[in-house]
Parts: sequence; structure tokens; C-alpha cells
Amino acid sequence: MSIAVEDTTAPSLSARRVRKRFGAVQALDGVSFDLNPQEWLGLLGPNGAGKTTLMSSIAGLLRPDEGEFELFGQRVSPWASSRARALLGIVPQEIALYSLLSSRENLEVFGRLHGLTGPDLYQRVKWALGWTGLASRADEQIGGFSGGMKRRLNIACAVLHEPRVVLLDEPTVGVDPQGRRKIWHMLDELRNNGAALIHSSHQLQEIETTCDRVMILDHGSLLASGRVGDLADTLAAGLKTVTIFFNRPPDSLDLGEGFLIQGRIGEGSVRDAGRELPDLLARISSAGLEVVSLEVSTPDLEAVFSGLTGTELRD
Amino acid sequence: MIWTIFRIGWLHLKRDRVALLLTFALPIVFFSIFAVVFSDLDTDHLEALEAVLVLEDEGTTGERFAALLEQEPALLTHRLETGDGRALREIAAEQVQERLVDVGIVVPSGFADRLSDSSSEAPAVQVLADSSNPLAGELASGILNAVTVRLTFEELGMIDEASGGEALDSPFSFETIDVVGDDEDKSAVAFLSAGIGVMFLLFAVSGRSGILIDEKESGVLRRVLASKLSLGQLLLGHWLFLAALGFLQVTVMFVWGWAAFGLDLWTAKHLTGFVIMTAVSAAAAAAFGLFLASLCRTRIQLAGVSAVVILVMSALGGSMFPRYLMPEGLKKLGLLTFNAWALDGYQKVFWYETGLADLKPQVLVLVAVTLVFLLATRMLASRLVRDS
Repeated sequence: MSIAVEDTTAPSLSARRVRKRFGAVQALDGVSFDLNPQEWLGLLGPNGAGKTTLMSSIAGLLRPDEGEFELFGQRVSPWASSRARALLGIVPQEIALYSLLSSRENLEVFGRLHGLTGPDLYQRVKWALGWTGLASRADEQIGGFSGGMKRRLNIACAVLHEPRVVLLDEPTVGVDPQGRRKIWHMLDELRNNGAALIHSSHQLQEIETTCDRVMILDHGSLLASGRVGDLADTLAAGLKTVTIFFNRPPDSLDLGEGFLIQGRIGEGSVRDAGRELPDLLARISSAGLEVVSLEVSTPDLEAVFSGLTGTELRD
Repeated sequence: MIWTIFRIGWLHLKRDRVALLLTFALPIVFFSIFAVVFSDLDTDHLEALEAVLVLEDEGTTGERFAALLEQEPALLTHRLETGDGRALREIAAEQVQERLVDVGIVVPSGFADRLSDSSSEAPAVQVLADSSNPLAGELASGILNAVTVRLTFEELGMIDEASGGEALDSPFSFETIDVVGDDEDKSAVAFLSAGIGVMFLLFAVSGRSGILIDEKESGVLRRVLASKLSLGQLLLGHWLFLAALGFLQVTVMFVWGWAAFGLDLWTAKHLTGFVIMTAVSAAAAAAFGLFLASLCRTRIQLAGVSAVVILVMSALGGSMFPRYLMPEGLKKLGLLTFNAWALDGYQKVFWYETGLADLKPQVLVLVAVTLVFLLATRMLASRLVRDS
């Protein structure tokens, strides 16, 4: 029962200068971005950055003070628009399910609330049970399910009506690595079937692995947006991270400004590895040390995040 | 170590205002309500019982009996003397049925015949009572008993402190006639079914209305509101379920009252009145339950607040003891409660056998209560969404 979209060339979702204030706190401060069709967009930010407020505003659960959203080129007021509700799928961070109901019953309830009935509902529930791998436990109450099973059902209940934009708030929190990979696979399938995803997460590695693009939000403002690799390159402006493992902890060693030595490891940044590494190696040799291994790498997302927000992600 | 555990208990209690209220304030409130009700039963403070007197005996003993009754401070006696062609005892019974007086007293002709001939069969003095107000009948019988003892001593010239009349076999007999219901036991069952039924109706719906809080805490509320369902529709759906649940619960209780205790349920008039009163009571209770749930932030808070509010309302509203036991002030205060209106309606159906049109005030009040609580719930529920 997917809803037809008039403008297939327009971004799936656009936010324009969205602002929202709660008392003295500016939760969103002029956020603008586009989400392209079939794009998987990561949303990163420390706690209180405004991620949930942004998600809730898109979902129509909060009314922004200023700004607007467009879905496929059409301005929407999600607060009241049934069209927007049909185009959007919301996966909350909580396991937002009825724990005394079975998987099938939960799917039927949320399918009906999204307007599915009769054979359509039956087909979509059947699809969801297969998609989540829960067909064999369809009629069990979900209270006894593992965290991963509940998370998969949590996602399925949000996409039964085949939304074109899916908002995922920490969809894998508390799930083991194997379970996470299963969920990534499910989300990839959704994207391949035509949905665009906004994926909020604390898992940097998850965002790096799964998302096409990442947006970093802090204090309600969008600090950066781009492909993960490009973002790191842009921010680091050509700097490379050098990590050196010594044969023993040095007594006294100076590798230059910005290098830290802890135990047998020295770490720092260089702008031109080809020209600067020989000097570093000479200093190490003069100190009577041997190099066990040496790595030169592009700064990762965590380094980008810390550089932009000045904080660790879990702070 | 043990002191630490003690301290944890104290800190939890201190910071849980509802628990504090339940622990200290609720017993005081209950104590006060019971004290006010039952201290009023003390004869020193007893409000006079209002009685209509029909004196069919035309002799001097009858007149003396009437005079003694009129002197009795615990009895406010009005003598019925003209009936415009109708039997006076019939008018007296009507006044009791219409609750214009508490009891009727009929002194039949020849009631004192045994004073002169102890072997004669004297007719009994009749107390026309309302079995839904058994206390009035009992009090009236007690007063009559005291008056006849005095009359016996006067008439037989046996006022003798030494004998005290202890061994005297009373020449008078009494008969209490229920002029409202015809079976006191069944009326008591009807009273209990209504009183207990309404109180547990409130407990049941307020407990089940906690689903609103569960939905907020689990995130289901956000998910549901992101679907095609509006907040108003969500509340309406919950209200309908709770009202249906309440209707079923009260029905089960009354059917049990019929099956086990012979409650007179299956007459067209009783059944129709029952359906009307149960529908409006369940509707109002469901709205009230949802209102409490939207007022509270957690399940624990809801359980505590519900217990306090429902127990106090039930005590004041007549679910725990009949409102006719209460002094006027408390009776009026009781009208602020949901229970009082619901119970008055059931009383009209099962005791007073009034026409269905007489249920209008109760029905209107309960419908108004429903609308007010539903509107208040809708306003408070917006906060639930913000908090979710």
C-alpha cells in the first residue's frame, strides 16, 4: 500500500531552517539538510545534541517553532498530514511493542493503525515475519524474546505500510554483534526496496559501516555533513595519523609537537608522511629503541566527531 | 549495615509523596469520616427521627400514647389527621416511600386491649419503614418500645422503681412493615451489589487505564501517534474499552447477586433501569480512570492516587456505609462524588421502584461527569505526548 510520490527527482526529505526551543534550551537551531532517495544517512551527536528532537519533529510528534519539512518536494505539516504519516516510518529507540501480544498480533495491531486491512494486512504481516526471521515464533508472546528479536520486530512494525522514509532511533542498541549484522542486512534490504533511511546511533563503527553519509549534530546545530571518508579528509585537512609500536617503553623520547607516548605506543599526526617519517625514525633510533610496527592512517569518524564536538560520543 | 537498609527505606518513603499520603493522611481521612458518621449515632447527638403518626385508636390510651411519642426528643412526630377520603395509613406509607419522613407509625384501634384483658389478641403497632434505611426502622421500634413501657407503667399504676418493670411481659406488640421493598434481605443485596459494584468499578477501570502510562513509558504512544490514529481517537478507544469492561463487571456482580442471593433483577423495569444506570456509571468511571491515568506520570503514582481518591470517594459516596447514616453535611459532601449519584440511581431502580424518568438527574449528572473528565483527559494527554 505504498503511497505514490509526485516528484521522484526531489529529495525524499528536506529540512529547512528548523528551530525548536524548550525553555532556555535551543534544541534545534536552524537545521537544514536533504535526504536523497534510497540514501542511508547517519545522524551522530552527543546526548542532548538534538537528535531525538529532530526525529520527533520530522515524525510530526513535535511542532517546530520555525522552519519546515518537505517530503518529495511537497511542503508538509506532519502534525496533521495523513500523507506524511503514510510516507514515514518511525522506529523508536524503545522497544515500543505490546509485550503481552505475540509477534503476529503486534504486527497486525500496528499494520491496522497504519491503515492496512484484509489481504494487504495478511500479506504484509507474512512478509514481516519472514523478513525478521520470526515466522517460527509468530504466535508466541514477545515478552520472552531476546533483545535482537524484539529489535527486529520493533523495526518491522514501523515499515509494514511500506514507508518511503524510515527514521531509526538507535535501532540496534543492546543487540549483540551478530544480531546487529542481521539488522543491518534488513535495513539494507529496505533501502534496496526504495526507502531512504535516517539512522541515529551512538555506534560510530555502525555508522561508518552502514551509512552513505553522516550528519554531526551538536547543541541543536548541524556541525558537518558528508561522506564519512570525505568528512575526515576535509576536517583533517590532509593530516595522517601515525601509530608506532616500540620494542620497549622509552626512557626519554621526543617525537615532536602533538605526539603522545604511552607505554610502548607513540601516536600523533603528520601532514607529509613521506618527508616527516624518516626524521621520526631517526629520533627513535637515537633513543636506543626499535620499531616493532608502524601504521599511517586517515583519521576515523571518532576523531572527526571528537574534533568537531570536543567531546567523546558517550559523554 | 542494617542502619543503611533502614535509611534506604526512609529515603524512599520520604521522596514518594503518594506513599506518604497513603501511610499517614489516608488513615486520618478515613478515621475522620467514620468518626463523624458514627459519633452522630451517639444518642446525645442524634438528629431527631422524623415520623408520621396515624392514630386509629380513639381511646384515651391512644391519645396518651400519641402524647408520649410527641414528647420523645428523639422523634419528630407529625400526626396525620385528615386524608381527604383516603386511608391515613396509605398516605403515611406514601410519605415514607417518597422519603418525606423516615418512618410511619400506625396505632391501630384496640392496640392497648391487653392492658385490660391480658388474654385478648391486641393488634400490633405498625412501623412503616423503608428497608433501604433499616436504621430508621430499628430506631423507631426502640423508641416505641421505651414509650410503651412507660405507658404500661402509667396505665397499670406500676411505676415502681423497686420493681423496675423488669419482669413485666409487655402487653403491646410491634410489627415493622417495609413499604418500599417487600423483602429486606433482597434489598440489602441490592444495596451491596450497587455499593461494592461501583467501588470496584472505579478500581478496575483506574487500574486498567494505566495502559496509557505503559504506552507512554514503552514508547508505544509515540509510535501509535505517528500512525494514522490521532490522540483523540486513541483516548476514545481506551475509554470505550474501559466502559465496556466496567459494564461487564457490574453486570457480573448483579447477576451473581440474583443467582446466589435472589436479587430481583429480571423484571423489565429493573433490567431497563439497571442497564441505564450501569451504562452511565461505567461511562463516567471509565472517563474518571483515564483522567487519573493522564494526571499521573508513573504506574506506581497511579496506583497510589487511585487508592486514595477511590477510597475517600467510596466512603463519602455511600459505597462503604449508607449515606442515610451520615449527618447532613457529609451527605451533601457525598454528592460531590461519583459514587453517590450512581448509588442513588440504583436505589431508585431497586428500592423505590420509581419510573425510569426519575433517573434523569442521576443520568444527567453522570453523563456530564463523563464529558468533563474526557475533556480534561484530552487536555492532560497532550502532556503525556510531550513527556513520551
